Amino acid sequence: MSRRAFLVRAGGLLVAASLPVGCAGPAFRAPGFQLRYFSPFEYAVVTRVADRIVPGGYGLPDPGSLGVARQADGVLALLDPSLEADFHQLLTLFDRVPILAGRLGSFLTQGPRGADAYLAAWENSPFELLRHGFQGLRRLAAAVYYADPRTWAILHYAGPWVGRIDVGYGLANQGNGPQVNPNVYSRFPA
Amino acid sequence: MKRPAATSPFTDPANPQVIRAQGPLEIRTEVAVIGSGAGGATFASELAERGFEVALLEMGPYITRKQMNQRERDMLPLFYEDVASQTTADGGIVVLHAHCVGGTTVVNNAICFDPPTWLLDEWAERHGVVGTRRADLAAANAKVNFILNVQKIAPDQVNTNAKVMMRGIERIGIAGDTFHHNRTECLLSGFCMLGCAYDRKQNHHITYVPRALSFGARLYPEARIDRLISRGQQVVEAVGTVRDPVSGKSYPLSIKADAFVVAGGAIWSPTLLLKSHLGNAQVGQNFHCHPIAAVAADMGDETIRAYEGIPQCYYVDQYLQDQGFVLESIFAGPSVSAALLPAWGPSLQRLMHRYEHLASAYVQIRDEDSGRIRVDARGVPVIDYSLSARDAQKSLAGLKLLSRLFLAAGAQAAYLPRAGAPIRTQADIAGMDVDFSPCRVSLVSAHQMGSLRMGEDPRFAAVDSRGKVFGTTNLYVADASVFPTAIGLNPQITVATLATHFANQFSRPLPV
Repeated sequence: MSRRAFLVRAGGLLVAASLPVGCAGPAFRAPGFQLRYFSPFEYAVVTRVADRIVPGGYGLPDPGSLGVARQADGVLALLDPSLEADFHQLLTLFDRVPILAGRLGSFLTQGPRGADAYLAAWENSPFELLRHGFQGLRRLAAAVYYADPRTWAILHYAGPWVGRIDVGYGLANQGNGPQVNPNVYSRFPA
Repeated sequence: MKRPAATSPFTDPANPQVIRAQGPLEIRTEVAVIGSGAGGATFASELAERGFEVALLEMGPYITRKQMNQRERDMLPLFYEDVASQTTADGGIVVLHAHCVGGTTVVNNAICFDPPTWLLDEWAERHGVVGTRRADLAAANAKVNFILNVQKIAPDQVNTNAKVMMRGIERIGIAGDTFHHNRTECLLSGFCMLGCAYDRKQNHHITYVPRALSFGARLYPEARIDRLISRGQQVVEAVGTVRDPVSGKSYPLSIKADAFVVAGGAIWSPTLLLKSHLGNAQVGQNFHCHPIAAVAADMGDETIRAYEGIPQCYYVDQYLQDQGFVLESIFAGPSVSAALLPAWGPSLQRLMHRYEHLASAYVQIRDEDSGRIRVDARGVPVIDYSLSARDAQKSLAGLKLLSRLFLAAGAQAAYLPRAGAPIRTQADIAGMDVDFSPCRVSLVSAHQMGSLRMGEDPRFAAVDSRGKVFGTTNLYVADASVFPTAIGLNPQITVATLATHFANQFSRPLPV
């Protein structure tokens, strides 16, 4: 998602989003660890999104066991402060304006099939903004999930060499490599 | 087994010429170069070699191989803008570029194309650029190739993924070739896009940056310039903040110089000029980004493990001049792959379960239509760019060719960068239609250019043919922003060649 554009373009919709937030927003219990970016509500939304985007199966772990939402929280905490607001607004918009997905209840109230239909409505929306938001959520969940080494064995992905493979002459670890390019400090033979 | 040579003192962040800020910094120098990628580091090195006093400023951190652990989870946030999630304003294209000493060269795939003669002729004849014909750039180009130790990928270095592409190319009767690259004694670990942990990829942070330091330049990592201050047409000061990487504290930064060179890339360079109210109405216009659309091919029982070896080895460029696209082999780690595959839920899991059997390549277009860079109320750049209909047709032509190629190579299915059924037959290819509306197709940009294009007429260009910003006396640009057009090919050698060429024209007294 382009956090750099979402804020402004979503402005009108967020006015609509503010009403259900103010009137009917349920209280969300904080997870048993410190959140760095998400509110407990946002954490719940991302947890549910991850459950549907990367649902396990094929021998792959389920996203809850990997803590995908918690890891996403850590990633988004690295954002430049000037860009933080956009993703917060996306999550509010996504959950609390169900009419955009053609549903009556919020995303978090949906069962599994309802949640998939909700996501699909955003994915295939005629509104570019919603497709944009969906892709931001999809990419976040997928990238965090498959960055976790616990998903790699089933992919037959061996993972990094660093710390695993000695590439020769003691180069098992970074930091002691030779300068192999003879030209870096040479005078160019013009 | 080869004997290790000495490690260079100039690639050590503890080098006293690498300045760690522990309080407010006020710098006085002859030339300030803002940005340390393919353009900035080259420019700084060339000037330092000729005896200029140079301060090289980089907004990103100084990341060395000691930090490069080849894990996407750690490296993507470390290197890339917005934790690698930046997109165009419409969300349609993921825009990748790195913020670190050495810029995007640190995470590129080391592909080297010399600027083609036809391109330089086009710039001269259609865009009024003066003095950048092939003969004008020959010496600069040769020097860049020398310092980066550019050579052709050897046959025994070609990975399995590229061999699938080669097989398909041969069977459908088109021509391809292995890339030239700037790796030396490559260990074939395959993690180039996460930084080379073995310093075999000859990024600018281990070539031109230390070369500049060896000639006396000073490097200021994590030095972010927010604004250039001018008096009349003369830029007199750059102001911003500098961060101490140890304490994490930020301090005010001021640089006074006789000349300033902006080389922050085609997004940040125009942003700095716009925020500083410098230059003409062309600043930020004419932005191009080589949109990339990838195809993932399921090769059935054949084990590919495309993530092993040099990530990009083979290409087809015979369609570049008349149809505006190139094909290049590519693969990525599981995190990036999953993020870019246009699937979710069980479909994504099924596809990723086939990960070791997937081969991949992409079509990269030479986009004729352009967008623009503007600055929002928060002072951050916004990329207003949408793929035009005629550029989308180029991408579609390339996707059809790639699908044909992979089926010929034995693929059971070719997955296009959009949701829906894969391509399995020639009939599927004939009937292929892709909706290129934003966020209906997965597109990526790894090359941004053109947003401060050069030329001699300020009605159509932001800088002149020597890189000097129109309306200023001592402000220059030395990165891909100056390209008058998209080039269609991987740009690092063209950027470094132009930076060398611009630097060669610098002389004292500086034109203040």
